[in-house]
Amino acid sequence: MRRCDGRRLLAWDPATQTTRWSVEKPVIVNSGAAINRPVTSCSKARERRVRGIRRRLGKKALVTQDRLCNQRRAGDVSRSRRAVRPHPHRLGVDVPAFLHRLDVLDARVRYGPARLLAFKVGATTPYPYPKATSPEAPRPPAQTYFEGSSQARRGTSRRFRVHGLSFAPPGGSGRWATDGGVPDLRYAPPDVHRDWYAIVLGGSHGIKACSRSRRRSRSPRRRE
Amino acid sequence: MLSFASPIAFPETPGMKPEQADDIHAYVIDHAWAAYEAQHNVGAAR
Repeated sequence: MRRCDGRRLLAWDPATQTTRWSVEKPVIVNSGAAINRPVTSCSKARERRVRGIRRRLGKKALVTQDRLCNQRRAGDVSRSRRAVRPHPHRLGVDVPAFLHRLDVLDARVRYGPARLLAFKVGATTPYPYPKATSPEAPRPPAQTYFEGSSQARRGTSRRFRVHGLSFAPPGGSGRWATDGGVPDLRYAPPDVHRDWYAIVLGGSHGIKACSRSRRRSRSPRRRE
Repeated sequence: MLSFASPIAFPETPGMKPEQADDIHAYVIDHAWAAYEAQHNVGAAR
């Protein structure tokens, strides 16, 4: 087993309080919320909707809450930007667990597009280890803020836990993502830099005016 | 994402000031330039 820095997918047996199965998972997944879980039991109305969807997509289509809510889903490729915990789903006598990966569906994401993975108890197929390729870094803006040492800046980012979000794993999280996933801020597109104050101080849907007024007062340029 | 300008109760974190946002932005830009240059140097070597 390759060494990793603690990211693993565990099948936890609550009865015996032991790990039944575990696999190294290099992709950061925040497996807290149960969204998009496969539909296991339905009301009659939902059952009709599931049948309608399966008729359109084929009998073996995996119908999820996502699709029931009329959101997009194509085959085994999820277009959702949300994470879901592995969820047990009964198919015959086997109980696989479904894991919805966190990555956005974007070719510029280091670990490739988002996928819905199925794990089956007793299966021998190895985990489909994602091939990580770094996206091309966009040209960053010029450095305009020169106060404070590099150490102090690092201290500030650690204090607000921005450091952990962006640079913690070796090489960063590698996501050129602006919403939904854990972004690697080194790949932040120009509009993120432009709206920095609005995003950080105002929240992601925050006060755009704040960023504009602050930007006017900033002074220029270390690099072009 | 929540606003960092408001203090957070748990874990206890004070509200972020604009100067601190500047600090972090500068830190991010430094790293972004490092990544950009490393990537382009690698490309040139190849």
